[in-house]
Amino acid sequence: MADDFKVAQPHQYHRLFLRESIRPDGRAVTSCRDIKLHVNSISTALGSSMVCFGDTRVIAGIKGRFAQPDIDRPGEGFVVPNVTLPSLCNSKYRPGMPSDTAVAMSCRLAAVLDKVVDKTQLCVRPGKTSWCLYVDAVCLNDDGNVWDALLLATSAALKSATLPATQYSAETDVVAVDRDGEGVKLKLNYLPVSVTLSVFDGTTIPDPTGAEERIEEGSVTCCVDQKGAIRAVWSSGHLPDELISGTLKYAVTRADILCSILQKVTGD
Amino acid sequence: MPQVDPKRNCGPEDAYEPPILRPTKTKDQLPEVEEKPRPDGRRNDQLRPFYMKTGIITKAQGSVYIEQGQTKVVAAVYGPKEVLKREDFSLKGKVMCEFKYMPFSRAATYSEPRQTFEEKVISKTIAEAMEGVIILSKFPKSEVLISIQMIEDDGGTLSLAMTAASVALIDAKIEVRDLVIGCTIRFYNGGRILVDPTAEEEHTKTSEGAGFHLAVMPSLSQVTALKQAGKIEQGQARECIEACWEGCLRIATAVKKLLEETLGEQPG
Repeated sequence: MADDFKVAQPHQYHRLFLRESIRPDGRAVTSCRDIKLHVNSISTALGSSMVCFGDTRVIAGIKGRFAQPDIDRPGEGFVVPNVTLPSLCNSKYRPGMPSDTAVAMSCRLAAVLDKVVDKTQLCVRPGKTSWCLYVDAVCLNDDGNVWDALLLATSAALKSATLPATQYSAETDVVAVDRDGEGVKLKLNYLPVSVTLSVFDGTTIPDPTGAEERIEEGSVTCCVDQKGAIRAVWSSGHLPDELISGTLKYAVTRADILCSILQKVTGD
Repeated sequence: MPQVDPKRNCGPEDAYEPPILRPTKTKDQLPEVEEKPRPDGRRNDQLRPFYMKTGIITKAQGSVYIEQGQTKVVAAVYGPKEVLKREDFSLKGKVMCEFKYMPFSRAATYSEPRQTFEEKVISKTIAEAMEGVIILSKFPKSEVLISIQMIEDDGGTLSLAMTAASVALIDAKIEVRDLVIGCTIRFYNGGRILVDPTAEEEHTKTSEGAGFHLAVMPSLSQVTALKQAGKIEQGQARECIEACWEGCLRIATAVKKLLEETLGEQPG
């Protein structure tokens, strides 16, 4: 009976819960789902992580290839981020070409990660060889707020990644990866995390589930680094003006908690 | 060379896999003759540890996560759903499969996010194998989507993907004739057969020999898929298939036991 009502009248269904200051999954209105974070369980990747926000599950991994640096930037490497929302994670994604949501997320991830990695350390031989890091985030289960999970997974993967040692041989003019050598941890300028809030009926709801995302009137996403500086903000839908500063303040507080989880799991 | 994909960040076109300084194993160390032990110390017919968990993707009708040694796969089943295109209406249901290696899943190479030719072939193989197993007449004008993502590739991926697809179908309560269990073997020219090879054992380029993938329905004693790559004599082929079959039956015992515990009913 409740399930039928939830499908037939989702707005009313959520309104009834909000009236009692609670959300359908039992959380308080301003609380977020439990977070699970594991790093480096995939041995084929340079760095990897898995993040769960409740049921939303995301894996991120990093692979490296060599490439010739750009002519204008001979001492820098490349970072190529991509987001995949496969048909596995939700029935709204069909197999084949990536959906518009995935394309938008890939662009946003590229924008947010642009200055995160110190690209000069990716250079192996200036002008000749540099690392090209492929940072891929794949969603396994989409139950809302995939973007926050993706960014946390990507940051965790970058933080726990190790660049393999390389050796240059002058006779053959080839740089090769030395598996027995000691790798180097990636040098990151900052670690971004993200906090998304939905707006429904004039109330801001952080960390929306899939059902809550479908009924939201607007949303705000705020990317914050580990020092509390705001790195990117974007919104969609319509938001009342008075809610904006409150949501940014909440986002910075919540980001602090996410960064401390990141710190605890990835160390130093 | 990766193709230019307008919907994804592609990175530099000339990126290449970094050469490795010393290959992991020299020819003397490879397990081609009986005297040489397998890298992980297993017997010829010993399977790797097996872990399985169903219901991991809450958004799908059925799903499973399987680990066989370091090879990790997740499969989800969506459906039966009404087909979108009128031309695809038929009295028998349709089976669609999407198989993908995650970009960071293979040790030797970066798998681009766009589905490659090899993955399309594997998708078709799995879809055709499942068509023989699912009772398609039970859901006319509908389709079932099996979505499989390979999280880490350490050998035996096609067989494990078949097993995962079949368990996900059972978890989705779609009517099937039997479980489908897959097993891989690697045959070396000296006559040695290694059951359940790791990626290192599967892809040794130094000798001829063959790889066999077999998928069977254990209770019905029928083969749903057989794939062989490499050169082999007729008499030796019989031996290989028998070794595969035995491996499948042993994995089937483990899978049935795990399914009984999670679903509380006897499959097949």
